[in-house]
Amino acid sequence: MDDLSRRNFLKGAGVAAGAAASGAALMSLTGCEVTEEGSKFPLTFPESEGYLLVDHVKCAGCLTCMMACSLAHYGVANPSLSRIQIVQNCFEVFPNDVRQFQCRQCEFPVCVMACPSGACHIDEDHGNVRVIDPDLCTGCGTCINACPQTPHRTIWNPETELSSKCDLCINAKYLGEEGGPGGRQACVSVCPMFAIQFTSTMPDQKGDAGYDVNLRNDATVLCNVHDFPVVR
Amino acid sequence: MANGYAGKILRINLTTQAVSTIPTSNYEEWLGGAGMGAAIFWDLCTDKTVDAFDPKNVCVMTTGPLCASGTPSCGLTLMVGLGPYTHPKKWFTRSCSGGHVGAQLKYAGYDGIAFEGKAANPVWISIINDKVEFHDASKTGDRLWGENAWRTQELVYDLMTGNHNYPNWFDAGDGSTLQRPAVCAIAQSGENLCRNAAITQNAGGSFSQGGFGAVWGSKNLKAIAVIGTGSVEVADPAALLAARINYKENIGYQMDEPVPGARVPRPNNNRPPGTKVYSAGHLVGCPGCFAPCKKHSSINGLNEGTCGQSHWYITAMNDEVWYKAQDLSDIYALNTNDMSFDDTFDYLMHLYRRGVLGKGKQIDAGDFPFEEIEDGTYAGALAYCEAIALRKGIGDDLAEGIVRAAIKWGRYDEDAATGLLPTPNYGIIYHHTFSNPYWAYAQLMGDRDLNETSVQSYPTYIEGQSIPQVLERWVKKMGKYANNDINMFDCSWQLTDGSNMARAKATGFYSESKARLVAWERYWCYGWMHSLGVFCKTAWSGGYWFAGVGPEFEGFTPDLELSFAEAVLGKKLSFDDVMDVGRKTFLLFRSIYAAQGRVRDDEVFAPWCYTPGDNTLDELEDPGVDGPKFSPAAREGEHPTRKDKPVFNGSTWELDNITKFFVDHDAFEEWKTKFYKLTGLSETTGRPTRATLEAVGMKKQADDLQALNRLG
Repeated sequence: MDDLSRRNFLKGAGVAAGAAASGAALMSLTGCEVTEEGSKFPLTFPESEGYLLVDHVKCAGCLTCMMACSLAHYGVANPSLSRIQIVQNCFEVFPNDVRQFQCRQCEFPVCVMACPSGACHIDEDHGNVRVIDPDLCTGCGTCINACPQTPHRTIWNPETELSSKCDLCINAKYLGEEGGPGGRQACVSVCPMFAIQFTSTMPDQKGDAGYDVNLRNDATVLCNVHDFPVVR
Repeated sequence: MANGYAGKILRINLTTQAVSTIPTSNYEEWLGGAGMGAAIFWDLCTDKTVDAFDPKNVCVMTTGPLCASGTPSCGLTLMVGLGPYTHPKKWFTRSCSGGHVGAQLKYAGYDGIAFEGKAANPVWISIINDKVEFHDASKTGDRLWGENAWRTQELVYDLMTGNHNYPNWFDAGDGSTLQRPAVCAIAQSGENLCRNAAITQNAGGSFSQGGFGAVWGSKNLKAIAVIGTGSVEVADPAALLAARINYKENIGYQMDEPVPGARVPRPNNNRPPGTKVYSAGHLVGCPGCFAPCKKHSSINGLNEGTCGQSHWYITAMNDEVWYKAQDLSDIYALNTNDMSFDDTFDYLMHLYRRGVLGKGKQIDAGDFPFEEIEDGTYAGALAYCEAIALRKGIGDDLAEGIVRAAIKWGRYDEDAATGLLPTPNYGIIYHHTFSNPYWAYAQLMGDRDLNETSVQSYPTYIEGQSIPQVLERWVKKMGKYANNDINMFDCSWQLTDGSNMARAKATGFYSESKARLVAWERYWCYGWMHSLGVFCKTAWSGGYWFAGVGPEFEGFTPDLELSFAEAVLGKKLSFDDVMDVGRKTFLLFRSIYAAQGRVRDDEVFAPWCYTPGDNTLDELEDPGVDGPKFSPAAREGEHPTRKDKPVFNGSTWELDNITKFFVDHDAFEEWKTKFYKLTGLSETTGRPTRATLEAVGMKKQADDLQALNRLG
């Protein structure tokens, strides 16, 4: 499938979903066969009103965002449950030693499309954020397999045996404040390096460059990253 | 119960390869870290008189209850056990390391590990949640033995995960993770039982102090690797998260909008003098860190060395060599404090320049490349590290620690008298030992270079405030053990001509007030920094957080840390509560020393510390071929015009310096009596008394010491 036909297909899926504006309608899409024509469901998905940007050049790899994410959503500190992931190899040279992997709130959310139960859906009441309703999730793992990113941004919770994903803290019951677009995100709020940022503007969907950006300023370079040049 | 603890201590017997667990609740009265580790050691090491390399030695690795919870900068890991480094006796000691192993241990379900016995052959141990496995580390097995500490970690990554292709999720059985294993590994230095051998984790973290790398080597333990996918449960996650957010927004560093002069995270990395270091890289922090201190680079190696480690190779010809030398100390897992410029390095170069040490000289150094080292080449640094780690040539002597080497060379008596060999006590290195004698006194009452930023950095001058005002704010926050005694900070001492001794004994360096400061410092370190946290001393720099920040210099300690502790532990602790644990831990350490046989006469400085120094600072900087004759304070670099020490003359305070300070033997012996009395130790032996121990619930220790006939 080339980019154009894929785009047509996802738009088609979006129309069908939009008709019912519910996870149930989206669920019905998952059984659809992807065709080269890609015109079976000509529609668009409503864009998320929030995204996370990261700067792996600035990230210190402290995992604080991951602890905060799991605390906010589950009340425990557990990096494995975090919906934002930091991957490190201290024996790689800078800047390849640390990477940040956040959910992209994709324009065309494959996880939503793939979910057979309607659990993974677009939350129209909260800025169209792509979320998973744990009450509807059956733990089938389809969304995890469907996520086109490496590593997959849909997260398996072995304790509940359910999938989860970044909801921009819409349903972060331990956050103590309103989350989601217009609200607060735990990871952004705790990052000591200011290496995670919320934006309401959809990043370029192609590749990582739109999501992994330069969040440094002159002060950062001079005072924090300490004589280190801006890499890009 | 959700209280930050994982709930279990892993108990690994290397001799039998038996693995079991101990309920953490058995030791929660000690909070964690140093106290918990020492208490476990007390119970498991049944003969505390054995040598550090004896299989009966027990090495305990512990975390604190706040570790891996999301509390800022408390993810360090503590290690205790009998250390092989100190001289003449090898005291029970502790070391602290940043890195990921503490957090991964907590996520794997453990608050610590006790290593007992000795493996028949080299092993490494993998821990994936509740699955603990021994592996053959020998050259006929996984071929880790003989590898350096970095290479070992990389090999373990692949061995443990089956050459897993990151960043794909790794299936750990009970859960999945994107984290690589947290690996602690020894290098050839540990295998060769170098007394200054460290245990390295990551590129720049290490248990350096005390020689625990050699303890692992003696146990045939090459490495441990930990993957945890479980949860750390806390009492009030909402409060914890709110505290962390408040911390960042209202207290922590605003790194993108730094106020001129404000503290911002920066590499704790000393630069070559006169060079402009310009290397692409970023800061690296341990789990939960809010003030990353390590730099990770793309040129000149990885460069995660910090503090003294980052400038051990003082002669480095340029910044490239400077940084590569840091990496060498991590790769070969060497405690740079024992080979650094302030001590061993200078000492060796003095002997070399005097023609005493070198190829074919009185002390035949063979091919040890003094010329390369003097020129500051990379080859020189490499040869220096390799000589020690591989015990090549005089490296075999240096691997015993500099004091043992000096004794073997017949130099000790002379050089310890003049201060050419400036180890102040127990053969440990000179650091900021005499910046204020509390450091020197406290490490003498302990077992290692103090290296704690507690009251070292207290402010003594604030514009518009008198010295007593500044000090009163300090002691008010220091709790009951400070007893509102501002004289603790009095730096009065006997002058070179012997005058002012009465003042020094009344409120100065030989006073009960100074004993109070040293006791407070020990309780603070043992309880506050190294048991409740384990807090990072770089991030939570004592003086700054106590009374050096805020509009009124009111500081954030202890309320800030206690707010996190309450959210994690689910109980309200006061500063004094934690200091009480610190006092108990101090008494536990003292009990272990007593069990080892320590007596009052063991607690003495090296001869040079008791000798007045008459050299000038110019001589300090350029001591010439005869070497310097240092007074302790002159070695510290006290400058005659830099007056920053509060001195009380009986009626008023002023700022002065202690440039020519030296320890008066008799007055110091009197001080020891005051210290013992104040802390509940026997005035004749320095050992804890039964009454003291029983008063804090340590009857078992009292009974055990009595059975050994070593009760105070």
